[in-house]
Amino acid sequence: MDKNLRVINLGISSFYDALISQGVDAAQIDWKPPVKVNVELGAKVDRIMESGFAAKMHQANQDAIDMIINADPEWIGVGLAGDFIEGLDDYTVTHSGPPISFDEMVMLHQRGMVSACLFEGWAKTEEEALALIKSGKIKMISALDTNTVGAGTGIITKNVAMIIIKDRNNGKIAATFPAEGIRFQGGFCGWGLYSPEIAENLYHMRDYLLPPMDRVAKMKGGVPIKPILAESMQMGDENHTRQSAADLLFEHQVLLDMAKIDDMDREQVLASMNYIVETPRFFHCFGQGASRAANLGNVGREYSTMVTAVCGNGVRFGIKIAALGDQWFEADAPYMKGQYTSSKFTIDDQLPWIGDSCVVECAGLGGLAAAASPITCNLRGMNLRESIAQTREMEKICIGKNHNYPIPNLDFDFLPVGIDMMKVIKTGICPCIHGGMFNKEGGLIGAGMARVPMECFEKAFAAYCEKYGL
Amino acid sequence: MKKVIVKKKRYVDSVSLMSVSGRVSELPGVSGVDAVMATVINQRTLRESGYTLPADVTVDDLVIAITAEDEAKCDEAIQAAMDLIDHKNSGGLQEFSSLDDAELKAETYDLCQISLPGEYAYAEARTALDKGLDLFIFSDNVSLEEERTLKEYGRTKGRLVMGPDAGVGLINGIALAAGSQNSFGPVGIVGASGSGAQEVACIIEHRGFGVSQIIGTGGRDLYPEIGGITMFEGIDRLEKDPETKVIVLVSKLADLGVMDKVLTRADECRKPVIVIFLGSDQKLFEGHKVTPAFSLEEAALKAVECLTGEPQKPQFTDEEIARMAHEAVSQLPAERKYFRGLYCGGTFTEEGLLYFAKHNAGIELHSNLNTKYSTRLLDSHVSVGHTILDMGAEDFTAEAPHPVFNPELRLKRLRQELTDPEVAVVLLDFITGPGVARDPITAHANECKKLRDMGVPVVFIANICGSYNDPQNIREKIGLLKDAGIIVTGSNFESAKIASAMMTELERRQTNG
Repeated sequence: MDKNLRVINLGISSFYDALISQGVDAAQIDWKPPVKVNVELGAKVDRIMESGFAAKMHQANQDAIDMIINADPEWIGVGLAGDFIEGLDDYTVTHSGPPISFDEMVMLHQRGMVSACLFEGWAKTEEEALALIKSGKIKMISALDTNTVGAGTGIITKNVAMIIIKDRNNGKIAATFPAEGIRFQGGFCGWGLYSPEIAENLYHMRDYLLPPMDRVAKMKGGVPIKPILAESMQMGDENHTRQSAADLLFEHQVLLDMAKIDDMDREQVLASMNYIVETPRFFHCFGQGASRAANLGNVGREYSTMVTAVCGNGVRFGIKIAALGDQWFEADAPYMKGQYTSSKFTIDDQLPWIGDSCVVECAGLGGLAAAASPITCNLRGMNLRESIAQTREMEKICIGKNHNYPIPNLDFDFLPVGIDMMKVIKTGICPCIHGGMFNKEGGLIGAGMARVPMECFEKAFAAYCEKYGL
Repeated sequence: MKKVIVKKKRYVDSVSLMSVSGRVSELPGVSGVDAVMATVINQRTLRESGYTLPADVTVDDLVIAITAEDEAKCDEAIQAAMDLIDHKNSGGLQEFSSLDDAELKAETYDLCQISLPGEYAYAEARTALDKGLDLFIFSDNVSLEEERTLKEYGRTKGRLVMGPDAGVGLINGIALAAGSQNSFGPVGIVGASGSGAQEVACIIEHRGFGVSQIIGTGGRDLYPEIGGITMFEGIDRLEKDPETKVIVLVSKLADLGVMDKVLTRADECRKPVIVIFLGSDQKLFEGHKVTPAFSLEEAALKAVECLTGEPQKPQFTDEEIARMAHEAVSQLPAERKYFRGLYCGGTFTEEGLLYFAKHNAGIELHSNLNTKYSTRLLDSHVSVGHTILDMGAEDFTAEAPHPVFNPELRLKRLRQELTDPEVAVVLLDFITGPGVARDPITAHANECKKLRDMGVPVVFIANICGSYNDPQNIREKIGLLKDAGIIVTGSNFESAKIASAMMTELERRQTNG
């Protein structure tokens, strides 16, 4: 008798175990329910694609990804937020995510607003700060409504020192705030913590740690960011959750030149170098600045269905579409799934998605680049094959591929770039976004992945159809 | 308790360690898992969490810190963490994302076994047929329309479609789904009833013979809409199979027209065919040449008779059963007067009910099933008088896993019945195999033994539908049941006969008393 039976098991895994226990050559399918597709909207997408309108859309989308692919970001120095961020005047504070009123804000944002008033000296006490906020004098704006990025809580005021990135391709400038050193664990702007020491540290950074960095950027006539991003993506980074390689490549670029600075206080230069080296994920703000600067060139690009912003404020989640300019399309903020840094944390400690750092996904990094960084995906228990599968899935909703990022794990195939609203609607596949998990009380408690809610895309699609009479 | 181990100079990326903590935390009895490099910050956090670290710990060391119920659980968690860190469990597992996974050469397999939620089974089944695979569909809730389409499509492709709702199968000696690992032998079975086919196979095995194939058709194959497509395909295959000498067809009573066609096809078969339509009478077989059987046991014994030429007898004679029943019941106090049948096999419940209806006419039977032989229980959770329960039916499985896969549900019910002072006789059926509960038997035996040790007089009857080759080791389990004072029968039918005789005794005593 032919004792050989080779079986594929689709479903209950104990049936697979039973086959293996009998010595059967068996394969298990890690089956997932098919993605739910809105058939009606999908049909509408098809109609648009078959119409004469599609050519204009395709061209606009190609131009939009070319803006990212041909980007030439350069770190030009350090400057005050008030000098580089459009609209960041006195009594103005940015926050992450789509616009939201003070009363609706999560505690971290509310505390951030108060802290900002204290930091800038607009108020002497918390009570004064609250009164000032209630009086309506404080203008609260969404960081992604201007040329910065509200990573984490995204609390930025004019006196915060920022990393300045200029895209030499499109001329746009983006300012992002640097991580606040290892001692403050992301601190004020990022993780929503506040104490007099943290505020003090911000001044210390501005006045002491960052000037040597500004000097080295100017000495070098600017530091190109693109080569660092490209090389690090081949070294295991996806440049959202992980910058291990990028950090080293960046340090390789600047540290020797910093050591050569001879007209600044030696202690100060050394402190600055030390700050760069010991701060985890230091390069993150450079990657965000580069991504944001490129996409600033796409805001308002007529006909383009590419996503230019993806972010949350801990309550609501919002996206922007190139052709629809600065209009927000919102849904409830999703919870990230992943791993906590300690087993003492649970979902009860976790805040729904907060932060703008998905500007990197909008430029084809992070969740879209899972294949480049299986180690990042491994924290969710994923293996190499599943990491590649995540990128391959993202390909289905992207406009094209970015030849700057040939990835070894993809046999040097390129990473996808440019999330296309139309493809999201048509396939039902929502973009994967990587990020850090926030404690409701502030601070980082884990890392993981979420999907951008479909509701955002459905609302954006309706607005797009209305705008173009589709 | 808390336990810490340090692996000196072992470096593991912190990101990988995060997933280790998360996965090990899922172990039962484990409340805290920290697998971290002993950085200064991590050392501080661990101490703050109440762990004691050895004095010589350095930043180059890996620390695994566990909080769990007891030492054994701590050790288990540490081992699980190290296995994950050493990638011990990742080897060998062949897992793919879909049938279309580029790395899966689906065409090089023979059969696709599907146990997805019913609404998704059809699409995957269709893909599997396109890839040239035979199908075994365990899933239920597949529409009749879809079943027909699949079976017709399978026929055009020359592929066998077993199921939907096929519980057991044995193909080329390999047990599928909830099936038993029956020894190989000359009897081929096509079954529209999973547990029915398995019962026939196991009785044949226990008589020293074996089974060539069990082809499960799914419970609706003999509906007029399907017309027995898989039944006919199965007969064809077994007729051609040189290893099969005798064929047994097993089904519940089905559509008359289709049953007649099956019998006509079986008449033409070049091999002896034994047919049972559970619940049918002799009349159905009039004008046909096949050998009829009227219980699963009889079907199995006829098959053995076919092979040996020797008539086969059940384990107990009718006289022995009558004596056994009389003796058992006479030892019970008068207030113990009711029978409780706690079945997990659907076909076994039906076989029991059919037998009781016929042989205990006039006795009111209660059941969670809606049958013409019984009164429907108002509440499935509360037994009334003589109660026969199918604990694999939806009113139970909606709230807990099917007792074949997880014995908890029935165990709970058994405990509940045993608190009832009117319970006289309890019947249990057990089903074994590599795909079902690791040990469905021991816990039940322990409950019965506990009761006996306390001197509570309740009579237990049990049968194991399983193969000697099954991982549950049924020889040992039969011993365990007997040690607990349980009457272990040779078949479900025999269990029913004994239960029926006892019910008769109980009723007679009531009337006389």
